[in-house]
Amino acid sequence: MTEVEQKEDLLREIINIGIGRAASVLNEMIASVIELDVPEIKLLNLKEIWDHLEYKSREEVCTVSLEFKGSLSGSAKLVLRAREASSIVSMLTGENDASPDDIDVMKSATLTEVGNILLNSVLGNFSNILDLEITYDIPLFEQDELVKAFSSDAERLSIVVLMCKTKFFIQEVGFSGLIMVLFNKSSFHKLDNFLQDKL
Amino acid sequence: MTAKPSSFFLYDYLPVGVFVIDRQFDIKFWNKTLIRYSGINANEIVGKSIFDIFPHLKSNKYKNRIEDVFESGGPVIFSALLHGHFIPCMTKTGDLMVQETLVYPMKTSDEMGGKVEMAVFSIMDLSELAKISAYYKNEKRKARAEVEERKKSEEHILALLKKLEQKNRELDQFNHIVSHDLRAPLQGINMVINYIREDINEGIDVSEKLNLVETRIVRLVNMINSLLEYAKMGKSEISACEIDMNNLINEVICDLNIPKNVEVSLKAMPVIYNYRVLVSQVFANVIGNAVKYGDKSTIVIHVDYCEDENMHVFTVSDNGPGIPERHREKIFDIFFSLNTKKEVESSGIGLSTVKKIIVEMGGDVSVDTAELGGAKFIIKWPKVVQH
Repeated sequence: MTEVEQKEDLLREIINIGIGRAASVLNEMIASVIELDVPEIKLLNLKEIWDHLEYKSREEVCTVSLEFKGSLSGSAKLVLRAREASSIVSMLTGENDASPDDIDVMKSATLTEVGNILLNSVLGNFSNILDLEITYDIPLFEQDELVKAFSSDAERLSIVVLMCKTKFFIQEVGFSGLIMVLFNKSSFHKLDNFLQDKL
Repeated sequence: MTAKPSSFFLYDYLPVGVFVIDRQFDIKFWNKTLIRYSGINANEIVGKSIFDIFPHLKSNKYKNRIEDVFESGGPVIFSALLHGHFIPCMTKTGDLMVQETLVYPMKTSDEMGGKVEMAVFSIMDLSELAKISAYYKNEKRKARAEVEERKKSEEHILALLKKLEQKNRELDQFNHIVSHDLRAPLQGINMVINYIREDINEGIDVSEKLNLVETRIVRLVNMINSLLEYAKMGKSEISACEIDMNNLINEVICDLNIPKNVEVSLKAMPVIYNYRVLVSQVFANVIGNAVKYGDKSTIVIHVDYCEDENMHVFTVSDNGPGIPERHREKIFDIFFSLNTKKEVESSGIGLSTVKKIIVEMGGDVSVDTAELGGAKFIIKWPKVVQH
């Protein structure tokens, strides 16, 4: 196994533990059984992500973003297709609506909480395992074209993206989403060093 | 956010409920909005554990996440749709308040390594918003149901219009038949009767002409009977059933009183689910035509079967004169007859009945040249019964 593969392996482990914690928190909150799985992770430049996404750049998505700073800084995002996001909320809240409504303020708050749980767990696990000090802002919800979800980050940061394809299973119905952690270059070098130390 | 308890009083001026707890989960501050929301005064609650005052917060779904705020320093959100309320409060209308709650860590210092000393809870009253959201959701569902209902009505009206158009076309055909096809033999009879009258006056034997009148009357009666059958078709109350096509075709052959010079062969036939009377009528007409118009000393008829995803496909081939390509559409029009065999009495209604039955069942019928040299009728019958 190469060093890069070893690092990717460690990242996968960190993400999976975080996702597992998030799943147990969500399961305590809702009546339905929810399972989360991260079948694939990749480290990419922001430009490269479009080659690895099953999403179109103009596709309407719901994004929950969590800015973080400290030993590492950047932004973590949960990205869901708008239609699927609405279905997820309907299932979590037990509405079981066959044709879910658009995302209103109430639904967007629910998605923000789901994003809050997932992203806190993932980043919290980075912090625990790599022994980093990270603080987070309040998560923000946006509904827009996918390309716009990255536009502000692209301007500010020279970015390395940790892209995690995520599967949600609620009452055995599957949904796909993305968890993305965007690091600026210097933060990524720091992360790389932390990972190196742990190998 | 750093902890400076002396500055908590600023929270009193916020239009949201705010309270602060320390690491022991004891309440350190309770703002004026929360006093209004909950009816609990600050002096009744400050210094007490939130778990004593609000025991439901002891459950893991709250406690673990509040602990997380102290451990990881990340803010936590409790949304209205998932939790309803964080602390029970009543609205002015007496309903349980719908709340969205944000828990934010408060550190001893802004510097890195600063310990989370307290957690600030801000509780927003979303009761009105929830009502509005539910109202619009309900209105939207009603509108969606109305649109669906209208769509169904429109589809129903379109189907009725289509039927009406079909009936109008049939009515046109009827007018045509009555005005032309039925008048012609009547005029013919009238003409012969005039000849008979003249012959009687001149003492000539009229028996041959009377035979001619009788033949024309029989033809006219046949035509009228066929016409009535065609008109009645589809109006009878019949129900679908399983049909062993091998049996059905053999029954049809038997009923047709086929002469000895006709050889009929069947390939393996399926069992289908459909309207027996209609299927029988179709095969009686098509096989009957092959017999009627056969012009060879031995008439050969071959019935074959295959299927595709949606259709049973039957073919009836013969070694008769065949149908010229230019007439292959017209033969299904009412009262069209090729009349290739002068001695054959044809009402010209049979194949139009066949077409009408098959099309109304959602199938199709066409004609081609058979390998035997005659006509090949291709009958496509839907596997799923059309009601």
